[in-house]
Amino acid sequence: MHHNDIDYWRHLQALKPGHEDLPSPRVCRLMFRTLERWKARPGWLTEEQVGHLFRGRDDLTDKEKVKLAAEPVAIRKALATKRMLELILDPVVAAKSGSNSISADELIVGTLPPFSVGQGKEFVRYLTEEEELAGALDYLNELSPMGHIVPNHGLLLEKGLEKIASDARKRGAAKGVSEAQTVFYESVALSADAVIEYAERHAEMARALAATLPESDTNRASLEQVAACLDVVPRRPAKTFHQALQAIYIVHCALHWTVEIVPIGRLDQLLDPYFHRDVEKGTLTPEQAQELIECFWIKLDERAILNFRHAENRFTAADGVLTGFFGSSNYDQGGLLNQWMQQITVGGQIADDSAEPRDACNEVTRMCLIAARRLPLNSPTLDLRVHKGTPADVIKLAARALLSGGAHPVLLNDDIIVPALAQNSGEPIPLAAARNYACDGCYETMVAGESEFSFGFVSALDLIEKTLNRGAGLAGAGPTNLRGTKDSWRSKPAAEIADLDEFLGILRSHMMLGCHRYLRNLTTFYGNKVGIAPSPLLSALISGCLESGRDLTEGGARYHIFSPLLVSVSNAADSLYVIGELVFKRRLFTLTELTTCLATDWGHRLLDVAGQEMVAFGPSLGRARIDEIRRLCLAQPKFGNGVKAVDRWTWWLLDTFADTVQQARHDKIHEAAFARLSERYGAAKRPFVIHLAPGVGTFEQYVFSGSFNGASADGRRASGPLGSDLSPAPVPHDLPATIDNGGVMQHSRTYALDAGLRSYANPVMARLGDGAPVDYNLPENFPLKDLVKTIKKFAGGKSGSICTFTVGDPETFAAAQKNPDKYNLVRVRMGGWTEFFVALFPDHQEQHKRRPLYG
Amino acid sequence: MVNTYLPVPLPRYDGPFQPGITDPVWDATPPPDVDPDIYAKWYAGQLERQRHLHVITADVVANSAKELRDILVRLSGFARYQMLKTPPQDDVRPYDAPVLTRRVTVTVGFGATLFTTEQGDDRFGLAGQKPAWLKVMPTTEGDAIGLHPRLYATDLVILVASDDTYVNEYIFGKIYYGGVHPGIAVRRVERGYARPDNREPSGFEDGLSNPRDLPPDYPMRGFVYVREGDGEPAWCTDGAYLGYRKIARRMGRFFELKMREREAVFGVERLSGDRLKRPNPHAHAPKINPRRDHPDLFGFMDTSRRFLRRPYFFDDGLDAAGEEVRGLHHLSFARNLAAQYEWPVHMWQMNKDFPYPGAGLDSLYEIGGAANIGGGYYFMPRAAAEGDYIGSALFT
Repeated sequence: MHHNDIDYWRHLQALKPGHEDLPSPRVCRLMFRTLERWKARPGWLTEEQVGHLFRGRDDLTDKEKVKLAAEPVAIRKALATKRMLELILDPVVAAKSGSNSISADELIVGTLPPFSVGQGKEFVRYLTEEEELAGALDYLNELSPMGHIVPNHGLLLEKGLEKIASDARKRGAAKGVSEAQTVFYESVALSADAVIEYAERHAEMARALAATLPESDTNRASLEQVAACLDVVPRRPAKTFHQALQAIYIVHCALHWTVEIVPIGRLDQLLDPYFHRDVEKGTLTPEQAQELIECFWIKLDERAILNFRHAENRFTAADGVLTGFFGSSNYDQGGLLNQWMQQITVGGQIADDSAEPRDACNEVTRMCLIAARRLPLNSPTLDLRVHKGTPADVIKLAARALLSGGAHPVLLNDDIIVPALAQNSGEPIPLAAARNYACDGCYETMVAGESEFSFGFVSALDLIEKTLNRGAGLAGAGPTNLRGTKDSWRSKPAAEIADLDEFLGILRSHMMLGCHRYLRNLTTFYGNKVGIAPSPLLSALISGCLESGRDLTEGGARYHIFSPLLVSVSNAADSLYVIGELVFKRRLFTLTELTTCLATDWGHRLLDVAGQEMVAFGPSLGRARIDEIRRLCLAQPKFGNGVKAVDRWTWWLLDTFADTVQQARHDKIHEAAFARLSERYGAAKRPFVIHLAPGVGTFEQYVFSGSFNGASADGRRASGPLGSDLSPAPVPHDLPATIDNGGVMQHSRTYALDAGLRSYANPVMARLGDGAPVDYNLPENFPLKDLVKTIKKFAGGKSGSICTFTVGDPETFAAAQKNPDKYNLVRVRMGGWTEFFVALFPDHQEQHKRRPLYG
Repeated sequence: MVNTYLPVPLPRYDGPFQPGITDPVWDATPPPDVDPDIYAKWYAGQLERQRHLHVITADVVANSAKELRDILVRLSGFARYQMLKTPPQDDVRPYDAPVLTRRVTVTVGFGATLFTTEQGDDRFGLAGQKPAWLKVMPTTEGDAIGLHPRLYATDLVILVASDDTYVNEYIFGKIYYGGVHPGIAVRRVERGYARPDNREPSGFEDGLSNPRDLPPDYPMRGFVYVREGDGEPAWCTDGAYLGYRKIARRMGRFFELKMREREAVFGVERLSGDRLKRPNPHAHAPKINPRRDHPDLFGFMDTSRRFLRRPYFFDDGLDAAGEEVRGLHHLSFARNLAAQYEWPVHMWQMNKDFPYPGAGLDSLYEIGGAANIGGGYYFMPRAAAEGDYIGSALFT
């Protein structure tokens, strides 16, 4: 593990040629350029450069503008896609914004936009004023596509975009096709045409650059080779490994430039046939393939920034809208500055219906793991699917990659996730499809290339607050909202809750309402994007869309997977343990006293009235008693440390959640809404089925989500960060993360890794198709053999469905805050992806310091 | 003993490169009446610095790209005028030798903060056009205790060189007192002088190994100026990076060493500049300029990482403890700052594990008592033709 770029290069420089950690000279050169690039503020397109498809353009006649305005929205979106891809290649625009550049060393060309999930994006606007207003009423605009969906790059490689476009046009011209379908097909074809042209321009540029190089420069030949690839792909099917990678990358760029922030999918499965074919033909060596993979890896991380002050904020109120969500787009942008949702999923099981799963690992799987180890990148995020049959060498490569400090790969257990997706997501999903799952922007699971996907949150801590506080949240308790922010049933007062069973029953009723509300929103707002922000280009690469003649935003995909996600589970489990143990069993304090403690944020919100401290509303309690109760709560065991008495609350919450999701789904109240969706988007041969795959996930929103919660019974302060995903809760933000143990800095929550694994071994995991990840922090000297053993246990089904490992000592995090330049390669797990610690805002940095350390 | 005296070469004011980087330079061809071998060794294609240098670092006070452009227009015009003007004759006494030229060069460079401030602001919409390798100078193991190079980062550097220090002072004064543009806020001025014999402060030869401006390839230019295809923004073509470090030398400590020990510190023979046959691996020359016979991890030979040195001495008197404060303004020009300058400094010179684990830092910084006490990284754009201004391509 290297803390900074200078250490990294000094290490590589000292390696002998041929050392397994030493990338090729070309890769080193590209990596070097990339590391330097991250230190600078990147250029961005200005709003003026991008503009509108027809409004405000003085290069169009009025007649042309009127004609464009009269085109259907989907056609205009496709034309905007074409214009965007032309604009970014304009030399003047590119010189100022960095929207296009080719380096002589590159084997994979194309330029990604800096449009991270946190920084926002720019795109050629195409709506009329009336449409804009209509969209604004629903919190939608041209920037609303959410990406978050795995494209079917297999289609791209097998057919090529030209064939996809001609298929679309053929279907659009067929008998019996509706006008809307014809428009959709044409929008797909136009979008595909635009990408073909975009790629061909890159071939020209690669050749032009080659011509500027001296005759003796070997990059002349490699650039010619790149251009030759682009002469073929993505227009036509890929024939070689190099072409396949180049095709995926250039289309990935095109998608990201046109507001579709999407992952890559199962790269090893896509590339393996090309690898074998080329190797057999003698046109590719494994070393060359590794070099190409690493060039691809570097290209995916060109846009990272190491300083949050270098970030842009191009957000509108309607960016990246989750399907089924109604409201303005405001989430933890600050925690998402370097997140482009570029997940690459490898390994796992072969996507077939065989009774016994067959391992899918291949040479490309291993190359990806080697790239993740050798290159100090934060993106792409590598997801390794493991199962009982995962080869030992793959597990070892994964462990080595993790200990190199990149928090890659994420590990997903197929033996848990595949059945959960196939059988526990409402209507069954065919086994072969479930086995073909790939990860979305964080780790969310979906059938690769055939799904639409979205999610929504239900907060477990919020449910406890409502149970304690008569359906109101505690964060708002005080002079303004008195009891708190009312949001659910006005359930019994805390004082009248007789026992734990009654408490849990009330909690369940609030949870049920949360699930109902999720479904109500989903069914009400499903499909509302199509008239404002359709996705014709992405639809071209999602199976089902062309077959149905429907855009992705209009039910076109083959699978419709939606994940209600329970968040703040570990804090909630710790809190339930306190309530069960200290309130109802040992009766050390009452539920009412606890509620007052929480409503006053452990005494930090007591009012000072005429020199007397008092509670704003509700039963009063003295500071000394509040402090005593908090001390008791903090001293209790926590989830994630193998303590069954606490862990059982996690399992109870998850079981109850899985029950309530499916119960709500089958409640009569939603019957008509689901029937309406089926009728509108389904057909006899292609029924429209919504799969509900529950899961646990805060993603990177553990700071943001926590800000809405009041104090909690686990001792956490109001608005404090939550445990990420299903990870154990961090040390509360007002308490020190480390202690001085005789001059040695020691983490104040240190758990044994084996104990941690036990906390996640429970059958409920098989009910969560979207997974329930745990983020473990390990010390930098964690032994390789122990991590290999741990991953084997995980692969054997002995510890949950998804896990990640961040490697970093408490001293490292503390020093990195003081001297960022010396720690510019320290990377941490953000819940679903990797971020550079020094690029994080202090609140996030603190959370990483406060996560328990496993040893 | 030869009795032919060569007139010093003059700056080049009409080329694509800013004067004061790879010029004045001795012509490749020996003039008549000189020994061609002597000329080839000591002169041909060699840089012939002016005798005095002022390093002026400044920030721009501008609220828009337009205001910045105005500053650059005025600065370019001023620089051009000062370089081309004939030395005034009205202050020459009747029997003084005529002064036909002061060999004035005013060379302007941009710091990383012009493109993005230290706080991350893109004041002028230029962030996307920053030269690829330009950044605020990072710390190294050779920095004096308490040095924070980022505190020295400025928007502009103006190198004023001539053969008369008062000419430099005059030009500096015009800039400092707002005579060029009130938007140029001078932060520092450093003054340096060159020994006429190309030796560094302790008398060691310092210049013969510089790349020379000789046909057919003109390596000096090849090592210094950005070309199309280098992966730089187009406006950077024909420009050059400047890596500048102000390096203090504790001469008292060095002079306590015997000559052989001093040569061991440098790894070269003092008079000839020839490398010792078996230098210590951490001696200065092999640490900053190794010559391994195989390509490195990038596929580069060590000799491809050379840069052009244009050093000047400084003497800042005595410090509070009575110790002499003198040393070098170490100005290094390179086509690729990261590959040719930063890599040698960070990966070789200051890497205690190069060329083998535990080898130690450059001896000059250990036994030799050197320490960096200032400096910065800059990019010197191509020259501005008459009527144009430096950096104009940034604003088109």
